[in-house]
Amino acid sequence: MKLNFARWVSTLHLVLFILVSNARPEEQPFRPETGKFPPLEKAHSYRGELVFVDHANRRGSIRIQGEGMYFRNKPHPFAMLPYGIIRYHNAPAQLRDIPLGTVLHVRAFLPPDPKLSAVPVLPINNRNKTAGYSGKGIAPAENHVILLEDEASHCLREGKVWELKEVNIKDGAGKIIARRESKNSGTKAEEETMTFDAATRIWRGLEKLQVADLVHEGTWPESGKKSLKDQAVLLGITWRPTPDGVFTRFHVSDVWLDDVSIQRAARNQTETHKAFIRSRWMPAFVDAIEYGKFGTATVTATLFGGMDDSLYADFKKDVSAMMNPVENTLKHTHGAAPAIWPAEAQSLRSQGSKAMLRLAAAVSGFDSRPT
Amino acid sequence: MLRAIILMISLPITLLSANKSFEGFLNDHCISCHGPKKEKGDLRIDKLSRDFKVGADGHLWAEIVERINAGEMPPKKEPRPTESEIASVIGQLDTRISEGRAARMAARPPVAHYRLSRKEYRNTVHDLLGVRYDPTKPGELNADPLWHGFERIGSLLTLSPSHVERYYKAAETVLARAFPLKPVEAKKVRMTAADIHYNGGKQQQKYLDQFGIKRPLRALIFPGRLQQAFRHNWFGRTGPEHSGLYRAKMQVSGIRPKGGQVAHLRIGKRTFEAANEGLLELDVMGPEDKPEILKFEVFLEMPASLDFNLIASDIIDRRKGAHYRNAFSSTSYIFTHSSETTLLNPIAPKMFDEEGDGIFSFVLLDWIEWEGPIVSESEKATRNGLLPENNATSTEVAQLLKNFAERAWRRPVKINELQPYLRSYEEERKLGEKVFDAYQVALLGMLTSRNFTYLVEGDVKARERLNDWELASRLSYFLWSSMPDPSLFNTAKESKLTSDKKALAAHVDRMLADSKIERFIEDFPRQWLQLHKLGMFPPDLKLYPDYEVWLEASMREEVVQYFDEVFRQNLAIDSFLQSDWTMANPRLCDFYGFPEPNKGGFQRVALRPEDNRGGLLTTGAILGLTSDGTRHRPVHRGVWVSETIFGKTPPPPPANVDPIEPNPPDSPKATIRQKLEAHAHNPNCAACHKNIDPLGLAFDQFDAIGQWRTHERVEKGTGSNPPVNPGGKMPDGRTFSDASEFKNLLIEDRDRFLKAFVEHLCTYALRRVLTIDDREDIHSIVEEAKRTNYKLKDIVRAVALSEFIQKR
Amino acid sequence: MKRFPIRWIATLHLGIFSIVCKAPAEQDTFRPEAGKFPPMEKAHSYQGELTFVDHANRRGSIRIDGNGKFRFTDPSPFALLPYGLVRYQGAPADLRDIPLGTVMHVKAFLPPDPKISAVPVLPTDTRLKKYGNAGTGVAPAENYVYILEDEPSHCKRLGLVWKLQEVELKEKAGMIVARREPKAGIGQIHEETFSVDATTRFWRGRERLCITDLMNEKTWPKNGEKDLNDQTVFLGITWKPTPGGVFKRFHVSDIWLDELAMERAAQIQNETHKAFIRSRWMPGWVDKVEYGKFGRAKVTVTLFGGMDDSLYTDFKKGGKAMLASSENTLKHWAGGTAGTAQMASRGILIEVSKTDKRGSPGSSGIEVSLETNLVTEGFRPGKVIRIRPESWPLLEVPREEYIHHTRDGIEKRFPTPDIFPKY
Repeated sequence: MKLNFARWVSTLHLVLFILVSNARPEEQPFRPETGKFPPLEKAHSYRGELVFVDHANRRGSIRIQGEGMYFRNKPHPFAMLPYGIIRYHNAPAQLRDIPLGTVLHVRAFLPPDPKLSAVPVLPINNRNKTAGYSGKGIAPAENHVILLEDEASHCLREGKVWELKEVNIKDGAGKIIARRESKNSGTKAEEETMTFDAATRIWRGLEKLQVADLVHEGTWPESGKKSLKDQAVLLGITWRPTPDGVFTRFHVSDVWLDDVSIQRAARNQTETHKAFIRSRWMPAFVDAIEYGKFGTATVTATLFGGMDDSLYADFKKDVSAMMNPVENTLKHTHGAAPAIWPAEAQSLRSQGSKAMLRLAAAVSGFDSRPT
Repeated sequence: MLRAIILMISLPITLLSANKSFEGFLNDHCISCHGPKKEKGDLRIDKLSRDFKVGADGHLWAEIVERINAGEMPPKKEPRPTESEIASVIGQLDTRISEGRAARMAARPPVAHYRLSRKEYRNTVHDLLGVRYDPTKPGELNADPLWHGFERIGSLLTLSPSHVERYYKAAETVLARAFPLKPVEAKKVRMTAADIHYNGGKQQQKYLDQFGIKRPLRALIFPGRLQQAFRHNWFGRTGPEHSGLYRAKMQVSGIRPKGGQVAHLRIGKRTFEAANEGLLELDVMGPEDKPEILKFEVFLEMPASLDFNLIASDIIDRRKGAHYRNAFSSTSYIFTHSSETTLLNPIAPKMFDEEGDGIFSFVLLDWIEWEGPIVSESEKATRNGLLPENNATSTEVAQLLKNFAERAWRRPVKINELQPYLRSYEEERKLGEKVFDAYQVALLGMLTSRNFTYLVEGDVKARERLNDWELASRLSYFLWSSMPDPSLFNTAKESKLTSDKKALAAHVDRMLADSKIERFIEDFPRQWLQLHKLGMFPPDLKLYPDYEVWLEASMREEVVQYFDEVFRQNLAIDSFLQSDWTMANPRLCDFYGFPEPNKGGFQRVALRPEDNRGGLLTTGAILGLTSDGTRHRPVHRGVWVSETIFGKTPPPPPANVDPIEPNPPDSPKATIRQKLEAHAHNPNCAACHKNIDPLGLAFDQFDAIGQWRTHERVEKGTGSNPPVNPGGKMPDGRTFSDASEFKNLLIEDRDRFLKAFVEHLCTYALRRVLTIDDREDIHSIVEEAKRTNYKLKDIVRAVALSEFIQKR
Repeated sequence: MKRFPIRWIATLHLGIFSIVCKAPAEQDTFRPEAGKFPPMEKAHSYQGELTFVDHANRRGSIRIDGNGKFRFTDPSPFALLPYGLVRYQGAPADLRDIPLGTVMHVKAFLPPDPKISAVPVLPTDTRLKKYGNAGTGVAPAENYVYILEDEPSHCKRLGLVWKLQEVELKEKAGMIVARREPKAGIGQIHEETFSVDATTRFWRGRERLCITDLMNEKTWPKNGEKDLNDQTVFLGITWKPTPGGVFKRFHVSDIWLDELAMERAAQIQNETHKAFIRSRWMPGWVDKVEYGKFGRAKVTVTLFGGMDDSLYTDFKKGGKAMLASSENTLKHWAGGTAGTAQMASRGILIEVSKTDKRGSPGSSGIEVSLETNLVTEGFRPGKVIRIRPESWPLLEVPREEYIHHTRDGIEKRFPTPDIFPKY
């Protein structure tokens, strides 16, 4: 994998992050508003392991990494915002695509409407609370997620890469020391020690390898330590139980050794997601409705982002389309409003991700201020 | 681990035949360096006072005994005295020192004061005012100092200023209880098993309903954790005025392993995490499906909290893991019946097996009901006519006060003695207090007077004999540990106690038959046998896992029950030495390996020869109190036999004696006896040990908690545990092969035992140390006892009727 | 699109299937008992798509393949029996290892104890009931699962293989016809048509390929049909929404083109499961308890079956071990600040023996006895335990996988079906 480093970007990013962190508590608590996409920089960031999924309701639980003993942390419920983006293997995904146990990076907001929250509404300052042995930050009130991404997606989006320092192996399992670097950063990030074992998958080009294969090839030693000379890779990270004394240590489920291998994974995930969206339809917000006579209307909607371009490209002017009101969970309304089912677009103008449909009958679901 | 210490003791009684006076020894071995010629260490032995009663040079004489005893004197380069010379001189000197000390302790000024012990104080206020008050509660009266187990020796019972304050507080409490401002109503409260759970067991009931379990919750009272038995707030707001007698009943079942310990429940005040002080001890024998209802009464100082404690030899304590035990108290442990296990927390210790038999012994409680405070009619009657009417005149008040004083002070009271109390009454009245309140200030004064808290004997002008009043008190504190009753007072008033031998005998017989004699039966053996030492060094639970508080309490009670049986059956005191029966409860039967009795409580149990018991000397209590918690102490046992059976206290061991080292891991395992014998090669040690050790070694077949054994358990060393040797030779040459033969030899010496026993009784009755001057009085009581065939009750009677008891 | 003829063999198979289906209906009140492994032949069999997982409570939902329109079928809640086996890609697995959407084969019983069922208790005859468009067989009362296995595991266990017949493609997607038949060659043959597309993964030796790779190699056509000549493969099967007219059609998520590829997948899953069991301890249940004095006891347990042999060989006579009370969900216990290991009893394995109690996949046939100095309530015949030989790492399991005895109520021991939505 060819990876370039310009470390100043990472530093800058860090500095910005610190400034933002400090400034935040003084501000009024920010909540996303209906019909407006909130700025990503106002989101609270954390990461943790996916422990429970209710994919049909686009929600689940994450065990969040705090300061304390990770295993004691209770699974923390979260809900996806309707426009919340999930990324897995550097491709758009659904919650159902992500194996339980995957460590995810989260950007989240306070519940937009606490009354309707699908997950527990917590006191606003909860992220600063210390919860016994678990430490601080394991149950933030910011549990409405705008971005949920696995390690590989996170690194590629932020221009980071893992540099492998050293492997220490015994009986086909062991620890690896690695550092997550920004490609353009000037300073070194902190080292992290993670475990791996015989179940760790190693991807190289078209190949799917195991630790034993690397040992067999002589790339990794059979036993003992070996320097990996800052080999740049992408990692899939999960968590496994650790001994009592080890507060937090993650596990490497996957290693992508080169661009081809991650691109292959991404392609497969992209196709999965494309098929998914095509069968469940493109989600969007209603922006405006211009009413005609006898219930006809022109509805303008903004398509949600983060998907494969080919999906957006399918929205072409003058192509007929269907529109169905859905919930914040993006659930369809099955058979509930047959009147709109044959709604046919009179005209469709593609403006970026805006779509305008002319409907034969507008129903209450098509409200520019949906609840 | 405690390090063993070897004692060096000489036994004066065996040395009377020594032919050389101690002065001769001093001349031969000491004066050359500590005399007119040389004065080493500034010591001139020739100039030391030989008047041991004065005790002027007592500390120097003690030092001399110590140095000779330890072999330091005479110095190595000087000629060595023989072993018997050493024994003789130490014996003689020690006898003189002891006699001198006893004489000083027994010395009586013209007026002598003997303070009431705490138990006597408690009994006295109950008999005087019908009030229950416990002066042994923390913060109340100070503990009584002991002299060889006796807690009523006048010369030791002094008062410090802090103590005086406590007497004021005690008297206030007693009066407040006798004359409460508002009458206290008795209440009845019933608490079910659910009620004593957190939040009334509501959560548990919800789960029971959810799982369709119909049986009600039962409270599992398990070893290692206290549970609520009584909380004062169950009665609403309570204060000291609610103190008194409480009556309780409860429905319980006792679960236990097949053939295992009977579930024993202790109800008492919490002392530590898993310990409480026993107010009540109950063996629970009703099976799970046939609970029994137990009833009892208990005196409570309110506000009080009592806890159940399941006493068993193996408890689920911190060593095994409190984290398991804690699972019982969570709402996820819901017990109804041993056949319903679904809602039992799986990480709690398993309490019963698949058949419903206990794995541990424990109790299931359905409910407990409390009622109180209860005041009996006879208690109320003691207070009748004590208080003046609200419109009483000063004369009436003075008369009432005089009546009270004569009872409280146990003698006639002159009106001028009442003046200070009447004055404080008048002052209170002037300040506006009501008659009732002002009068109580006077009573308070009376109860804190030396005339109440002390037994006062003698007059300004010295006299030798007691007067009638003094004799009445001496008798009643001897036999009842309390004040005389009206009948005794009346005879005293008529001066018949000292003059009419028949009247005196009638009273003594009446007192021996009265239920209050229980106080003597409980108090005397405790003091005589030094039972306070039992459990002083708690046995190491690693070595003695069967030992626990209930066993210890049972052991102590066995001795008292045994004494009670000998007393009530009026058996000869030989029974204290050897018998074919004992008194035991189920716990002791289990411990001694007797067949299990079919009822709870203490009962007379027949002994078989293979039980290896009989008499007091081989009870767990005596064998335990002469051990140190880790191992048996033959020398301590010998000293105890010497003191208790022969009435002779051997001189104390010299200081800085090397302890017996634990067995080295690389040498063969050796018994304590073998190690003692190795030490005995030193003539200084041997002189004394050969006389004292056999008395203790006779019990070598009993370990530190009194369990029978044939081999001594030695922790370290090579080879197997060595067999014990309980044989020996008495100082007079008679031999024995084990404890049983040893007891027979003691019975042959029954006259010596009788004399010692009479001395102990007289010490108890006269509240003083005896001296050589009392020899003849003792002798005549002994002769009387022989005439009545050594029978216990007759001996007590002989003491009570003796000339001796009428002497000051 | 060309319609593939349904061949006579499939008809035959259906005939047999319906006969098999009817037989157990007469003994439908069989319930497994605690402490006894039920005979597999008494289980009710079905298959469907995994739609929901509550892995911490070993339960989930499955959309069962009945005889109606698949998409109309409500997810049907199921719970794993404590000794219930999960197998994925030919190796033992935990529920969390199985991607949502995977089509699973199920063998299940009625709830052993309806009072404490973690899933809804249904009338015993629901498997014969028709549920509207979804048809019959979509909500059997037999929702306590003995075996839950994906297609490759199912094939491996029964010695079956898929033989690819024909493929027809258009724009990287299309249909494939395959036949499942015994490897040995004799027995029932089942033929089915699946969809394939660009999401389908192809595994060949060490390689991971996609449909375009096969097209570029010309193994598969870019457009149109091709006979695949009975090519022997393993299939990973999922479900995707189908056009309105199609009642039911499953989708191929994975094709293992050779044994090596399948073996490598199984290896990784097996290693995943080994690490899982070593950290969560071997489940089993108590056969008997022999009591000593004061809580000392010898506890004999049978280890549950279906795992990698190396896990069982770690139990060696004379070795130290820890024995923990568990629940039907196989959850651990913790208390106060005491972790799961601290709540366990320690002891020595005084006996390790193979018994003849096997004959049921739930049992390993291995009985071990441990002597402990404090027997706890959970060590009662028939109760589920977890046991750890000394050589396994001492780790702390995460919060949702243990019950805290003071913080958690009875609901955590006996999860109620409330988590499942009613449709």
